[in-house]
Amino acid sequence: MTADLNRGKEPMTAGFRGKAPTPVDVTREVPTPTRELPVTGLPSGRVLPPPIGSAVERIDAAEKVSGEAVYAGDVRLPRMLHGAVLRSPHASARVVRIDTSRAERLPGVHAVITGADTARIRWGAFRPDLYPLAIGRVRYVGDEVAAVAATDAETARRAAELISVEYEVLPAVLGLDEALAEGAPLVHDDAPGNVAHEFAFDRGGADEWFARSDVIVEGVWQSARQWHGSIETIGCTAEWSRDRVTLWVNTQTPFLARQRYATALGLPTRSVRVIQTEVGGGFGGKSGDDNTSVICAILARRAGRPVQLLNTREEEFLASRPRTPMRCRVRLGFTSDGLVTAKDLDLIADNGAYTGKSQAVLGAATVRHDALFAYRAVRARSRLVYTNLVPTGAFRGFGNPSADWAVGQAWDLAAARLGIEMPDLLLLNAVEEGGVSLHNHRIGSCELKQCIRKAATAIGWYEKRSNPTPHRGFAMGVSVHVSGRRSFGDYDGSSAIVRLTEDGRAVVITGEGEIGTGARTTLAQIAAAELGLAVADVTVTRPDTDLTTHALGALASRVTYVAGNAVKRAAAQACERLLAAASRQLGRPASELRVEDGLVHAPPALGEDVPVRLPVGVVVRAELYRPNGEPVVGLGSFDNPSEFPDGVRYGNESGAYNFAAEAAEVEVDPATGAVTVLELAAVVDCGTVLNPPLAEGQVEGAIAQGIGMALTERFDWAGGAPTRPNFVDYKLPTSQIMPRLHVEFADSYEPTGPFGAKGVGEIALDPVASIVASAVADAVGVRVHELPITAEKIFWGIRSATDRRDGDRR
Amino acid sequence: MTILDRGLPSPGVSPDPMVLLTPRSLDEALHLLTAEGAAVLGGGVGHTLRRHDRHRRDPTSSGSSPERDAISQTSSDPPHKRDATSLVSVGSLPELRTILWSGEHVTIGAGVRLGEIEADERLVRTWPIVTEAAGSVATGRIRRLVTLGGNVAAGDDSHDLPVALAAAGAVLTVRSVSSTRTLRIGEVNDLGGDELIQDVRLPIPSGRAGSAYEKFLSRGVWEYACVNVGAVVRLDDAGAARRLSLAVGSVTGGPVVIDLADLRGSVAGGVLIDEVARRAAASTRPYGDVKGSAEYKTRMIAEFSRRAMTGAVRRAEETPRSGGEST
Repeated sequence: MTADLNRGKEPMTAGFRGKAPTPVDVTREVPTPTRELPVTGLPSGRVLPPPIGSAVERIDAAEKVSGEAVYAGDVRLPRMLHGAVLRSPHASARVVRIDTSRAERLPGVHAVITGADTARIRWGAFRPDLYPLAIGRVRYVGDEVAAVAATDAETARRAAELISVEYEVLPAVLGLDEALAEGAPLVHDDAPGNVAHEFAFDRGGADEWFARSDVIVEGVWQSARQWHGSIETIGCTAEWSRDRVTLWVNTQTPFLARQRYATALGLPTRSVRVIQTEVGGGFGGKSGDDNTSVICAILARRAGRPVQLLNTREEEFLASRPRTPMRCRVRLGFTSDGLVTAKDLDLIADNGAYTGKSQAVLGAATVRHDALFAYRAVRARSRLVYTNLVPTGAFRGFGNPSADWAVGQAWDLAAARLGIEMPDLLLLNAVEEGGVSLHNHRIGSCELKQCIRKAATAIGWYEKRSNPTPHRGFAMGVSVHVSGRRSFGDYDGSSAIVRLTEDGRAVVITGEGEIGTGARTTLAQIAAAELGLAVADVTVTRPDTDLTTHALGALASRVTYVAGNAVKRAAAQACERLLAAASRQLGRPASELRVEDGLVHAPPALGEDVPVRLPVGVVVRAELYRPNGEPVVGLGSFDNPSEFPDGVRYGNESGAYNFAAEAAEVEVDPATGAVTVLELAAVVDCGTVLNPPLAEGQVEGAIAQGIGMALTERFDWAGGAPTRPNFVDYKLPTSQIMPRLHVEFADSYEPTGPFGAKGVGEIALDPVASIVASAVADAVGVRVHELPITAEKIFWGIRSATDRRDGDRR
Repeated sequence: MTILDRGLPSPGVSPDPMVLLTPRSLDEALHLLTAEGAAVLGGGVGHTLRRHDRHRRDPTSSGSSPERDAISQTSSDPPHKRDATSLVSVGSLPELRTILWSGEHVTIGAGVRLGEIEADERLVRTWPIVTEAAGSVATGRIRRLVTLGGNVAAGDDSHDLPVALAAAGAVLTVRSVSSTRTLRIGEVNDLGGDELIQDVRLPIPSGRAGSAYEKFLSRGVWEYACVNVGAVVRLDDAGAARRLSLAVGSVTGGPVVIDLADLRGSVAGGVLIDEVARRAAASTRPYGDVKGSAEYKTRMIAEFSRRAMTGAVRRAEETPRSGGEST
């Protein structure tokens, strides 16, 4: 069968329609010397305005470092009470009886609520299955049962402890195998077999392509829950005014959250207003899929006073929405010279007790990475499975890191089997601009091959691989991410209003918000560049569902690309109107005018020799202060040029894809199994780098979270919950273990992006765990298949390998 | 604090507001400690953690495991720490804040901070095991708070200082209004509610002595040890071990001092060190937790005992021969 492939004669084009990857002669592949480019990496001839590509200081830097910034827990309203939640200690139980009388009698208590005080409506982003407070059943340790509002937090907690709940403990399913077992107890009665969601497809005929493959690799890999570990926990302050509630929330997605909160409260959307506070880290964990804000609103209504409810650190671990663990069986086929043929994926994801975003996470995990390579056929079966464990959901990478953990290692196995160095194998198969994946991902700008070459050079791949050091190993991985994704209906757009003020500034009104990434700063840069103003003269609002434009918020690495385009268009329109006004005021055609450094410039008038310079504020004021005067305002909107994927995940989910190649060198202490990541090179194609320090920060932070996912972040579990749900057991990586980093950006420009930019917030996390595992395998011959990679697993792996060798000798 | 329903809670399970007392002298502190419900407050770190740590579920409610029971036991408070209603702050008492050197002993006040111990140059030279253990605790900010006495009195088997001190043969001076007595590190759970550790006394090593502390962080980031081991050795001029001591922490009943008496007189080389490592692993009972299984920790106890003893011997060998030094 393999004879049909015409290997080496012409490229196979079945997988990627459009431009096919060109096979390269791996024997001639030599490291390409790096051409040193500035981080803005502009293709030759492209000139961008000054604020773009500059290390502009964050517009919120001073207020954050001085402690002035108002986070969720800093909100203070007159007569405000504090809330506390009583949670289930059981993974699965029937709530027989709740006695709140003792809590109600405690002085200082103003409201005690249970499921009976709620609208008894199930809510959720995709599959409504979550009550605000338990109705009859609890489904995980941490499930919300009752809540209290009192004059201070300590009193509220004491009162919550005085609530007496009688449970009938039910059998629980505490893992994927238990959940899928024949006759397993059901987490939800309406989900037979505990399957919350499933889909399958075969695109291109996988069996046929496997039959034509020379090399097939296969393996099963399991990922684990990872928590966001934001420095600020989830929190909300609620205040009612007649039948309308205002919620000050540290959410990443105020408008989407408002919709869901309204549903959960049994209210029309118009009855809920959400205002974003400062957000002390989001990473997907503040996407509004948990009950904290809903309970806060119910408490405030019952108490008749504002209420603040903040997650404790333990609550954040027990009841937020950590990364969705997945068990992936991967099978890859290759021709003997290294062209990939087919991929088969059987994916089971641990939903936990309620659905949240995991349904979409599963979709991304199933198809996203197929945009990387010219697969001829891809088959997948994906299932989302309920368990009686903490519900899972959105986390930076959104399915990609879990899938990459498996698929990336399968590619590493293939490189070893094929005898091809990983960078060469990746170059041989990597997607290029114009490629179209089997799921109709239509690839625009793509510098994946450049990323691979630069990462190999930065880590010294070829030199070090030819001079191996004992107990040290190398690995490389690649990833692709979206810049916004159509997920919530057939719209992934953004709109913005730019108002030029009579004092010469610009106010960008947008509902997208800021979760700590510096998004408001880059949006200010885009507006400033378009307007000819200084960044310091641009203000960007925080989201308020009453006052700002509608926005989907910080998810799917979308704000720079989608909101950036909307802001750019709004600024362009404002600038156009400013110049029209100046044209009228000066009696000069608008085509002669331009704005720079806050001034409207015109060449000298006829017969004059001094050029005209008019401050922007003067023009705006003159446009206003006249009969029937008008403000100078621009409106811009942009919808991601993408398709709403269908039920089997077919559709071009984003208008722009960002790419990364990363390589790591690790060292393993064979006496303990302990891993040290010595160096890590990350080269990212995010189009134009709008603000180098902010982009570098995103890459560095993502690598740190990837290292946490790989090596340090885990709990000791018992009875369906972590035994110590706090940072005593759960260790984020610190500077102690961060490797020497080489962060670079590809020379790239995305034609549909604002000034050529694409998303950068998530991509660098995706391949880290996979390459750490593969590098460990390269170092000591032990491949870990279940996250996290612990010293102990490696130690026993080395021991069993030694025992096997000893056995052979005997 | 997260409130998991405890089944049938009784009023008053929450920590009550406490009274903080700040005596100006040791005698006044001892007097205050005679009151019902009075407890010692050192640097305040352990106290803060105890107040915060209300999340632990009742082991009978669900999912009790031997591992968790082990954790609960090892990190639970000594009886006199429970139900404290007043805290007697002793961390700033001048009597407790000195490091005194006499001919034969160094006496470290119980109020001395771990950060001060870590930085004391004379201690670094004489008892590196102690300064290394002090310096391995958490972060600099925490080491500036934690007192020696508080760290020892906590009776926590995973703490670093007690392991080093046990290996070094430290003696605690314990005071109450009516008595002064001495305790070994392993006897710290005998502390009475009205008693206070005044100081920790160590012999000043003579001759070709060496000590070393090894703390294994299985994840590379600072946390309580996976295993922690302290080793002390003194060699005669022929290279035989005249004094030999090893203590292991993060094990049930730890720190455990390993019995090595019969190995005295052996040449301090690979064979001896392997035997020490073997005994350390064989005579300790580690418990599984997030840092590793009991089985893995047993292997690591052997490995880090080997490393600690190797380090101690190397240091002893670097000490010039005194000529005629013996036990």
